[in-house]
Order: sequence, then C-alpha cells, then structure tokens
Amino acid sequence: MKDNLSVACGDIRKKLKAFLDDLLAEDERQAFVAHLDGCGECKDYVRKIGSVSNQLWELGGVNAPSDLSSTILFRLKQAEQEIRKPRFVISKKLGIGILVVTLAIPLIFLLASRLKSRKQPQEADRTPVVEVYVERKSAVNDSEAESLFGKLKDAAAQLGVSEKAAEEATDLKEEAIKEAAGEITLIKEEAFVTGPKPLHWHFLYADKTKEQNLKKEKQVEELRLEKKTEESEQLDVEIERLEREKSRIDYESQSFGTIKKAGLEEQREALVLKIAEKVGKKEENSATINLLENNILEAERSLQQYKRDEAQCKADLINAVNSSGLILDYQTDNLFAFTAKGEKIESVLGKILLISPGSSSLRDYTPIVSVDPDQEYRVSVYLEKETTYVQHWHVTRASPVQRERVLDVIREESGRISYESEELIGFSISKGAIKKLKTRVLAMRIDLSEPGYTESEEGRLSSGPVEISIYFSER
Amino acid sequence: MPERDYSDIGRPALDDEGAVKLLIEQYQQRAFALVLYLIGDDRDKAYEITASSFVEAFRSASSFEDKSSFLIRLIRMAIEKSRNAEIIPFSDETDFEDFSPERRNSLLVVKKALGALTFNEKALLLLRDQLRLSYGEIGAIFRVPEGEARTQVVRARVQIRKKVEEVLK
Repeated sequence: MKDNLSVACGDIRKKLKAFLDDLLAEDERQAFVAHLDGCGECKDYVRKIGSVSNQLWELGGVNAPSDLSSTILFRLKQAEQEIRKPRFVISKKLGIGILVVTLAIPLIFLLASRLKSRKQPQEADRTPVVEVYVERKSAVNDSEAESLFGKLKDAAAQLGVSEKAAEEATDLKEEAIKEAAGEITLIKEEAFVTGPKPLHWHFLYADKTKEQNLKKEKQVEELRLEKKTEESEQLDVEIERLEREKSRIDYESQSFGTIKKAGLEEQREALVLKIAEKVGKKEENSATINLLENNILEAERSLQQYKRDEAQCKADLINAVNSSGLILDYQTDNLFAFTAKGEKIESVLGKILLISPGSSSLRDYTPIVSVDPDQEYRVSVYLEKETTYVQHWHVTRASPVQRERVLDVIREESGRISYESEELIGFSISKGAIKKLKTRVLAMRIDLSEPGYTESEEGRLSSGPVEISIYFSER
Repeated sequence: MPERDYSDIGRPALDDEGAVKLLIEQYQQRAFALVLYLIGDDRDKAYEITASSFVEAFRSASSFEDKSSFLIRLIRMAIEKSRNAEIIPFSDETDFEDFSPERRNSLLVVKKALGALTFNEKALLLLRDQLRLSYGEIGAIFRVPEGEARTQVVRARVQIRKKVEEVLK
C-alpha cells in the first residue's frame, strides 16, 4: 500500500504542470484530483504551487449556511404538500401551469419572509418553526452559549424544521428538541435571545465640587503659608541686621565723649524701635503661619475623609451586591457589573440607595420599574464623581475577529481602554475623536447602534473625556 | 374528487428522502460557493438562489439515479438565477483570516480578478476549477458541445490571468 501510494505521489509531481495547465486527459485529471482528495501531503504540495486555477479552487472553501439543507428539505415538502391537494383532472400543459403557480405562491411567501428578516419571527408565517430562548446559567459563557445554539440547530435540522418556531409548535417537537439539545432549559417564543438584558446605573457617589473646593482651599492656604514664611525669614534677616547695628552703637558709645554719646543714644533708640516693630510683625506672621498650617491640616483631613468615604462607598456598593447573594462579573476603578434575575434587582437597588457618603445619588439610564422577575439582567454600575458625558453603543452580530478589530481601532483613537470583556469594552475618548471612531467602526460593516442611553449636560460638555461602553450582543 | 396526474413532475422521486438528503449534502456547499462568487457579497441572496435552485432541480428530476444529470440541472438553474441577480462587490475585510498573510493576499488578488470578469467567464472558470466539472458537463450546462466548452474555458483562463496581472500592478 505504501509503495503504491509512493508511486502515485511521484506521478503527482510529474503531472503537476500538465494538471495546472489543464492539459491532462479527463480520466487522468479525475484520477489526479481523486489522489489529492485522499492525500494531504500532495494536496499541500499542489496548493503551495499557487496557480490561478489552484487559488480558484481554494476560493471555493466557503461554508454554506448550516440551515440551508433543512430549508431546502422543508420547501420541498411544502411544495409537495401543495401539489398533493386534490383538485381535478387537467391537461398536461394546464397542469404544469397551475403547478408552477401553486408552487410559486408559498415559495414567494417564504422568500419574502426570509428576505424580510431571517432572525425575526413572522406572525403570518405558515412555516412551523422552533424558536428557542436559551436561558443563560451563571457559569455559561459566550462560547458555551454558541455551542448550545449549534446543538439546537442540529436538533431542528433533524426534525426537518428550520430554526424559528411559531406558537403552535407541538409539545412533541418541543420535547424532541429539548432531548436532542440536552441542555436547553426553557423554550419561549422569542427568537434567539442570548444572555441577560443590560441595565445601566450611574451612581454619583460624591460631590465633585466638594472635593475641588477642598483641594483649592488647601492650595490657597499653602500659597499664603509660603508667602508668610518668606516674610518671616525676611524679618529675621532685618532684625538681625538691626541688632548688629545696635551692638555697634553700644560699643562706640563707650569710647566717645558725652556729646557724641548723646547722638549715638538717639540712633540706638531709633534702632530699638525698629527692632521692636519688626519683632512685632514677625510675631503676627507666626500667628498667621500657625493658622495657615492648621487650615492646611484641616483641608488635608477633609480630603482624606472624602477619599475614605469614596472607598467606603465603593465597598458598600460591592457589599450591597454580595449580600444579595450575587457575585461581581468584573470590577474596575469606576465600574462594576453583576448579573441577576429581576426578582433580585430591586433588593440590590434598595441597598445601594441607602449608601450615602455625603452627597450621593443613583441615576439610572435604563428603566428599572418594569423589571421582569424571571428575566436575567446584566447590571453595570458606573461610579462617578460628576455627571459625565457617557455613551452606550450596541454592536450586534459581530464576529470575534470584528470585535478584535474594534478594539484595535479604539486603542488607536483613544489609547485608554478601561475594561474589556467578551461582551463589553469600556474606554475614554475625547469628544472630538468620537466621530472618527464611529466612522471607522461603521466602515467595518458592523451593525452599530446607540439606543438612547446617552446623557449629557450642557455645562460640562467642555470638560473631560467621554466614557463609552460598547456592548456586543447577538441582537 | 378527480385525481391529479402527477407523472409529468417526477413525484415518485421525492418519496426517496434519503436520496434527496444525500444529494443536498453532496452539492450544497459547492452550489452555494458558486452562486456566491457569481453574484458577489450577498450571502442572503446566495442562500435564496441556492435553495430555490435545489428545489427546482429536484422538482424537475424524474429519478436520482443519475447524479450527474441532477448536478447539471442544479448548476444550470443556479447560474440562470444568478445571472439575473444584482452583482455586489466583495469586501475583503474578513476573508481568509486563518491563512498566512502571503496566501491571503494571493487569494484576494485572484478573487478581485475573478470579480472583474464577465459573468460567463466567471461561471466557466468556477465550474472548471472550483466545482471540477468535466468539459462535457460544462458543455451540458451551457448547452454547447464539449469542444466549445473547452475553448471558452481556455479563453476565460487567459482573461483571468490578464486581470490578475492588472490587479498586481
């Protein structure tokens, strides 16, 4: 066997040029192709040659959509059902004509419904389809969800139906799909929803003005302190000079006669007065310096307390989540996120609202009043010191490669990615660069939308960068 | 109620679901690839054309004993439907990502050159080099003699080599 294979492989190399130039006889060509199909080594060798015809062959490596075969089967069955309806005896030509029309109507309908939206359920769709809602378990990540979808599609194909279901899906079909898929825990009427719905909360946990004022106050006092300290040093120098002058006069007055002594005495008194004046000023300065130092200490203490409050607030927020029996999915300096069922959301929210380190409030960007207790939600809590300009973009149906490209573009345009997970990228970007970033992302033919989760304040538009979160989802 | 006469539409063939599934499995990928390269970057449309071509090919089959004749019917229908579709240029963005950069570049060049050919030239080359059909089968699809099919393929090959050189410039 091995010798025969070697001989055949040797023939491949001899006949390669003729094959690439399409000069082999048909039977030789078919034998050549058959050998390539069975011999990986020869196939690689031929591929490396890289002729145009080779490359045309490689271009054919396109994957057909996985549901194509089930669609074809279904349409055939449906066409067959249409044909089987008893009518009347007709002539051959008229029969063909009617057949064409009869087949055309459901095919046109299915074609139209398919073209309209492949992933949305159609109310008037006569196609019996299966729609499945995959409930995400807490440990399931995106790759596992994808694997479940794969099983679902296989199960649907086995049943001879396409992927979407109408309300009248029979129990038998549902059970069959459940059994085939194995891990599906819930079937509903929604089309391919994966993962929890997003909720965005913005928690303003401290008054930015307070922190700014404290810092400014401290700064001012420090400047004054510096000035007063300089003045004190200057006064010291002058006092020292005056003291030296006085000492000189004292020494001279011992040597001279009465008249000169009287003149020196006068100078001495003037110096004493000046020294007293300077010393008085220095004492005033010292008192001011003490006061300023105290003020600075006080400002520093206030700032430290503010930071402790900030840290405590974060700790309290996290504790609010943990004490509700939930765990964080991820956490950064300004953002943490957790997944929870609706029934737990209100309780977590209640605990968070009780946290109040000075001035704080919870401002939410998604309505939380109408939370579905059974629905799972991904809650992102943004911690802010001031109301910032925030945008939430949603990308639907992006491949992992496209996601990586978006990341690359973000790094180039903004340079600072705050957090990154499979379904969320957060970053800061200057307002001026947003448009360019959006243009570059859209140029990748990515379905990008901003679903109105945008907040801005007129007075703050000129300050600070924009925080953007990009959510990658199936729909 | 009077019965319909079904003999003209090959109804008995569709009862053999196993044979139907086998044929779909065997040819769906190639048919889809052919249509996609004929009509350009519209997978949804390629999906529709492929699916409807299969349905019509099955509906017109009297039996599935002769796979070659089924394939010829299928490809002929796919080509005719693609001919009427609007051609959309391909975007390179996500193609051939698993390949080495060098190989990816050369495939993209050929793909671009293919896009610059006439519809018939594209179809001929795809049938010969992608689907690996014989000249006889190609002739049957286009309803021309085998020799004529060979000549046309050779001409198309000359054209694509010219286009490749143009792209590389």
